[in-house]
Amino acid sequence: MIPEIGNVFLIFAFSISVLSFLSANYSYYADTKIYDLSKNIFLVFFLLLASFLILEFSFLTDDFSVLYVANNSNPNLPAYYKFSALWGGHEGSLLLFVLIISIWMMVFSLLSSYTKIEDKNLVLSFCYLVLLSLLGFIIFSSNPFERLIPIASMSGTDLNPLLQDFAFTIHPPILYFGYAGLVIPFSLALARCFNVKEGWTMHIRNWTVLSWSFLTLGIALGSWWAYYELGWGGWWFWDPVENSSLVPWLLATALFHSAVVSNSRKIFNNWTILLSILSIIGCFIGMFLVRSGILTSVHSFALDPERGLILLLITLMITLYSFFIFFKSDVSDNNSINYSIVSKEYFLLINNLFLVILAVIILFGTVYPIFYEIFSGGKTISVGAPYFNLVTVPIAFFLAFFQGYGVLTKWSSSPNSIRTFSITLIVIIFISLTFSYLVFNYLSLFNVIGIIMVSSIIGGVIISALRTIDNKKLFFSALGMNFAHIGIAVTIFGIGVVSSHSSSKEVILEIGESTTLSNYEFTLIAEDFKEESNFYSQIAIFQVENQNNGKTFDLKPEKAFYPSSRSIMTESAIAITPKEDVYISLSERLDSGEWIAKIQTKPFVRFIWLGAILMCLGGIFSFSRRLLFR
Amino acid sequence: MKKIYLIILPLAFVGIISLFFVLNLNYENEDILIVSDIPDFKMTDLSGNKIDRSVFTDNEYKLINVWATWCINCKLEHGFLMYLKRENFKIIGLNYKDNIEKANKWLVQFGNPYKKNIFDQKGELGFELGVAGAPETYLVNKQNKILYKHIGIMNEDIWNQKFLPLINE
Repeated sequence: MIPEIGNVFLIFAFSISVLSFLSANYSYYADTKIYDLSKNIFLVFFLLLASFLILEFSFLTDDFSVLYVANNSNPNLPAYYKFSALWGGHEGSLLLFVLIISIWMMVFSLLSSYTKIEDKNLVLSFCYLVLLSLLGFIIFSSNPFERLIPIASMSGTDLNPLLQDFAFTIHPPILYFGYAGLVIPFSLALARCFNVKEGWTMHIRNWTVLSWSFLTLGIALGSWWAYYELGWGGWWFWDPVENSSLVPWLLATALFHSAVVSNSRKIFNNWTILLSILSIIGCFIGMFLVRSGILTSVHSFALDPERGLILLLITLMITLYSFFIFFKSDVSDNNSINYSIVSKEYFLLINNLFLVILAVIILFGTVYPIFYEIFSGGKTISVGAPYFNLVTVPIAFFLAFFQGYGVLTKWSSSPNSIRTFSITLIVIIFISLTFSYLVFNYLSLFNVIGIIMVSSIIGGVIISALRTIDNKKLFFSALGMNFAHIGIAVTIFGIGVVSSHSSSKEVILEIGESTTLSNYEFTLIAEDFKEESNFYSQIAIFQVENQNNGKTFDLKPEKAFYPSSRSIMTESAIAITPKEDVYISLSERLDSGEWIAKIQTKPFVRFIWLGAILMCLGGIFSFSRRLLFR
Repeated sequence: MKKIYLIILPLAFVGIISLFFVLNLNYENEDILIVSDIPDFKMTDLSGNKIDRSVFTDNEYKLINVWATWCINCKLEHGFLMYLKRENFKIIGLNYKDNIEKANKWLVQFGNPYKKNIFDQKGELGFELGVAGAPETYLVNKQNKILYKHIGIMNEDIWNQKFLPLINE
């Protein structure tokens, strides 16, 4: 009975969204007044929250008559994982996603004020359009409340053991906050096409920055999770799903930089609108790639081509609808603005261009296997790290390089700018070469490239902060941005060092045997066994000695077996030292009692995620400062 | 850049990749249409007797059904398999990565639609057949060639649409 109520709530929320969308459009075209649509959003939010909680209740009470629960949970699962198992599959995660969209809509309508209520209604109506298409999809084709009748299972399958982890509890919701937030700039841009001009560029910039912050954190969490849970010691695999989260991230990054220009200079307006639309389409294409089963990846949901087709139709509908509105609109730029080749406008244009190219080539590499399969008559191919590294690193290099100088430029043009530019360039290269030699004792192209990227960003940030240090207002207004830029530098530093200075080794050890890697000595000292309610595992205990200072510590990697889903998981063991991570993952225990293990050292790997946290904090700071001191 | 390019270029891009998505979504279904031999194997059945490829040697169409007690959807298709048995269709079960006691209990409890059951505890034969999970159902012709592979629940629609046309061919 209770799951049916949840279903009814979903249908209510769907109906209200349809009505709100239609009435806002009707009132626009008929030019009649209607009530404030932002009131509806509270109702929609509470309905969605209620159905979310009801599904949560079915999970916690092990109601295996609900098909979705039976497929994703198990009585032996700890209550904590039962809770997060809700978003372990296609239907539930979609429910979480629409709930989060409604939260964004609610927060947006609470925090933004419009002089004309019709304008706000129109903005919200486009949010309702996205909401109603996804709600319709849930209700008609991916209903989480579907019953398993007549045979009710008593045991359930299980939550995929990969997902039985803390990171899984927070990674999807935060990532979804990032995706869902892009609905707001999308709606603002479409409303701008209907001449809703009030503060549109400011709103787009602020709300994109906020959702971008969540997206950054979500992607970083996913990367961190892959690092310690998948047991391979990598932090980015160019997996199709990772890529499809990176594409909206790049587009959103381009979007709020372009919105800055639109806001201050009233130019690039059409470009900002286009990027707003493309960001949401990027999210939808990503959603399609993950959920249709068209590509194989660790993230794959149920393989159901029919669902994929419906999602694709929704994507195309939203694409055509928004491009039609964009086409009919008449948005013009301020023609009196001129800018020279060394101006803030020009550098932001370069930034946008590179970011969009980067997004397009990553998307192309991701979907290329699909093209290939069709043209080659069924043969499959996978596009991996070599392609992506080759094409992304040069573009990322120019992005970082121009970013550093870009923050120092002024609007329109700056006198003597070319001389300053050349001097900065020479200084950066000089510092990089010295620094690279001092740190690594030798020069390699890869290091120099990495260090140039890092030092040009940090150099730019420091100089611009010093320039504004005596003007408190200016200093604080750039603080969020500076934080985020330093975050990028920190991430790039981590990536650079990890990619060039990691060491790894596969070993076969019996108890008592040792091996060395880098400056550590590893000794397998014992074996152990442990049993939990939902799994049991074999443990190998390693003693690791740092030969530089003689300190020792133990590492206990595990090999866990989950009976209910019959899967084996590698739980790697990681020791974190200030300089590097020491990483052991178990491969197999031979019949002779020896263990096959992979040991690795990963210098400065934590900087990758530290940088992402800085970016996220910078974004949130910048959003809240603008909100508080309008 | 003129606005019209801002519209046409992205639309064309989205349009083209969508076209390929649609082609590929349909393509995958046909891709499963394969013709391959049943690999040679030596395993035991659920009662512990030896079983090998000769179990397939007879002059009729038959199914290989991949199932396990841990698989919920296998319960859902079980009723239809029992119907096929009543229609005298030969089904060879491939008990996949399962527990032998549980599997035997299941057959007593829900009924046994299978002529023979191969007990593939480690998924070795499954690996050679290309099993991705359970349930999966394979159509094998008179010459012991696999004609078709269906991933997911077997039901009357799929039987009528995918399997019967191949059998009647």
